[in-house]
Amino acid sequence: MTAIIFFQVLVRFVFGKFNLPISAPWTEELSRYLMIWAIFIGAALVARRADALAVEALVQAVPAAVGRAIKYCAHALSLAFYGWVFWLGLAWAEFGNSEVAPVLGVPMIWVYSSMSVGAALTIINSITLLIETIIDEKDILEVIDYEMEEALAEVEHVKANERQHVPATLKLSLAGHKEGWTQ
Amino acid sequence: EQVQLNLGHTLSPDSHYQFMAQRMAEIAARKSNGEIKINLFPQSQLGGEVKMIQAGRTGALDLFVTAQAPLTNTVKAYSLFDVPYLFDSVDQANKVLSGPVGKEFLAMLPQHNLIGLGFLSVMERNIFSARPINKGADMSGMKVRVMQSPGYVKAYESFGAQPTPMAYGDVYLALQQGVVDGADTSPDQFLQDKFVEVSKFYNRTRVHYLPALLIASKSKFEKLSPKHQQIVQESATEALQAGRDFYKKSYAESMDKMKKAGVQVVEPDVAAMKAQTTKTTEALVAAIPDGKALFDKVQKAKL
Amino acid sequence: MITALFIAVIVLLFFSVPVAVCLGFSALIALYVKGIPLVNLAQSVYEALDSFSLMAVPFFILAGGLMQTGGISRRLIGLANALVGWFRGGLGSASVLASMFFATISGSSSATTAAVGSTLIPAMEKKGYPKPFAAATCAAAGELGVIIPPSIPMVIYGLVANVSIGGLFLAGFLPGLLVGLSLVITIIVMARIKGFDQTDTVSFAEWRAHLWKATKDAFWALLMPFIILGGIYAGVFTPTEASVVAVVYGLVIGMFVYRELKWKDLLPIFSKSMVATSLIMLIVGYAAIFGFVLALEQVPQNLGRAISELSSNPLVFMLLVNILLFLVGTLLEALVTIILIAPILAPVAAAFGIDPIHFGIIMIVNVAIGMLTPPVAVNLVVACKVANLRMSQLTRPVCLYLAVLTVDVLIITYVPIISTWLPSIMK
Ligand code: NA
Ligand code: NA
Repeated sequence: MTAIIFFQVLVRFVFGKFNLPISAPWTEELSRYLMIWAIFIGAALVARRADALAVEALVQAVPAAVGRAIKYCAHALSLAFYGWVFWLGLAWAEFGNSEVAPVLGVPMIWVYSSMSVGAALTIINSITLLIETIIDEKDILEVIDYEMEEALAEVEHVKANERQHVPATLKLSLAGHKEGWTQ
Repeated sequence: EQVQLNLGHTLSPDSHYQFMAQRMAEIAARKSNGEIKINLFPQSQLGGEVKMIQAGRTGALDLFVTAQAPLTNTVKAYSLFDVPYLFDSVDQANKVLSGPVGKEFLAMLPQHNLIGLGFLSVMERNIFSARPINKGADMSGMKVRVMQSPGYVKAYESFGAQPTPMAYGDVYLALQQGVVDGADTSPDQFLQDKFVEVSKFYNRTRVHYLPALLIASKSKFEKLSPKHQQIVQESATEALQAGRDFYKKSYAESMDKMKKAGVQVVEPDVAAMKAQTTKTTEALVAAIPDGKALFDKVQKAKL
Repeated sequence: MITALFIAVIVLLFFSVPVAVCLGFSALIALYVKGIPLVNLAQSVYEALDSFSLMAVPFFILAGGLMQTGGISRRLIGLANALVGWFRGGLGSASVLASMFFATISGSSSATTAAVGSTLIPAMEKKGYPKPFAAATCAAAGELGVIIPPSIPMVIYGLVANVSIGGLFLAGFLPGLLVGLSLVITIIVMARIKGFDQTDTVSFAEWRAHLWKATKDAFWALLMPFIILGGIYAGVFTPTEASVVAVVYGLVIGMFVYRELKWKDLLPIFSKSMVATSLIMLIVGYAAIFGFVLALEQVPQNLGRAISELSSNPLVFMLLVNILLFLVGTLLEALVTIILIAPILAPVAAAFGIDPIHFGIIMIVNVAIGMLTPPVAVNLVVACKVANLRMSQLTRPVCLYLAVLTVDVLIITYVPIISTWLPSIMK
């Protein structure tokens, strides 16, 4: 939720920038920093849905049991990595105390802490997901690539809508054929 | 035993940065009998200036050249150089920075894990544009791309211009398409970055003289033997002088070349423009810790 | 050291470790070995993400989401069909044309394939097209989504290779037309040979009436590319600002003009866009630290030297690049290919005297083709799901289209003016 609000705020700020004849430099800076926060929080959402961009070819090709084992290893490695990132992010946030944002003038720790926060949320979400696969007996392999999932959701959406509005011209061009396209 | 040092900067291989860096690598290799090898990474190969400063502070990058502006995020006092019309000429600014004032500024760096090896030449920032600027009022309503330092933004606002934030890399197309009416840069970069193709006027507004520094990472520098430290400092000092001479030469050549390319060079009434910025200058100086004292020291050193 | 680094990345990639983690993890190990403070990982990630130009990515993603839900895509399909749907091969051509229309508002290929395919694959089937051919057509046409501006891969390429994004957008237009035209010709020829897509005789008056109605219906949708692209080219706004305009426009049209976008739709669209953005941006961020290690090891310079020793001929170099990109494109997703390869090859191409924008277009068209080459072929998967087919059933038509696209990419590679002409006349 917070993340979405961030995103909307982000949109609004850039709108603000666009409508003003004089672009105040702080809106640009602030919107960049909000985008960074949104990215790291969004990363946690990605982890919750296990749809991080990955090459699934091998995992899908080998027997399911082997694939599942590989997948769990991959998750474990990601967890370790984000743990590492969490610590490095803390060190970096501390470094941010000695730097200020050029226009806003706030210490950069306000921006630099997003990495650790994001990493922590990512770890929590990944663990939740792993627990879910064990408790709810979900198959860890049944995770498809995000972009695809979106595209397929779009297909469903179009199909659902088509029942109500078929493009008139399409109806016309199909007229004269035995089966109507809406059935 | 050979010591390898990486030196990064953001300008092209025909810039005075690169000339200085090459000279330094040669001198250091010669003085150390090949024990010190300096690898050069021009054109932001290791990242932009903000990134190189950070990498220097954390010890990931040994040596780098940076303009003063990005340093102000770390060392606030450096924003003194954002004050409009602080200097009157390249020579004057270089003279001030090679004296005690320059030393005082270099001494601010070690507490941030950086060692200032010295100042390279300042760069004269002039506005290139689609229309001429003969006086401050000619900039009224003009969208200019300048650096995002408050000093730059406020200085141009005092002429009635609209400073527009934009990545330096986008300026060429933006100027071509009229998204901005002008931008500021030094004569040599005006040619090296091909802005000469998209501007009619090069106005010697001379609002800012942008200093550049050669900086070493303190933690990396201190790992060198005392002898190597001394060689690095000596070769830096010598190379920086050569770099300053190179800048003057390429400044003059660039002014010639742009005129030959059909760009009209405008000499605005700088004294009147300077008077327009007095209030801005006072406000900016007041916002810098110890600003008034530093400002006065610069004024004294100019005499 | 560098060989080890690349092997580590490839092994991790194959073991389905997320791309961002592969890059970050290998880079961390490399930093450790080189004795560079690891905190530089964080520093590189921030420096890469802290970019105003990069903000075009989330906004173009969001705009695409709004427009799909807001009924714009359906109207564009209707118009394409009214325009060319009447001749033999016309419905297939309409799917290409609809993809081209759709491409001018969407920055992604899979979205284009899904939007156009879900309506037109069933329609083509009804008109006697073999279903695999129909699905392959939509998958092939879908790649126009990234070739015709706006294009998310172009934004990323512009950033990693330091090339003007507005320039790339301009440059993509004619190659997009070329690819679209070649697909249309293929469809018409195939329709003749195989004898599908029987034409109903449509009188001119009838055609005009349909077209007029469809144009009216799609008017607001059609205005969109003019506003966005026109705005960029006329210099009213930068690509990032254009992306924001696209969002506002999509919102206003979807909610107040077409009234198909409801308040309750907004939250899911926003959150989906955010997730999609994070996915891309994390890779951009972690690729930066990977890139820093490559730069320190002077990989682009060494590679450039190696290639120039192999052949000093830029034509041969470009052929090698095309082959490399085709092979990489079978396995890696489009953005990943760009993020990994562009920083290495772009400087080499520049050293060969190749126009950076032209080289960018070559890369974009290649990664677009990669969306059709299994095993990792997002457009094919989407088209298969829509058509309810297995990928293997599409082999023949896909091979046909790949052959056509290979010719296209060679033309685009060796006739640079197709890419450089539009940016040059805008000067
Ligand atoms: Na597009
Ligand atoms: Na592929």
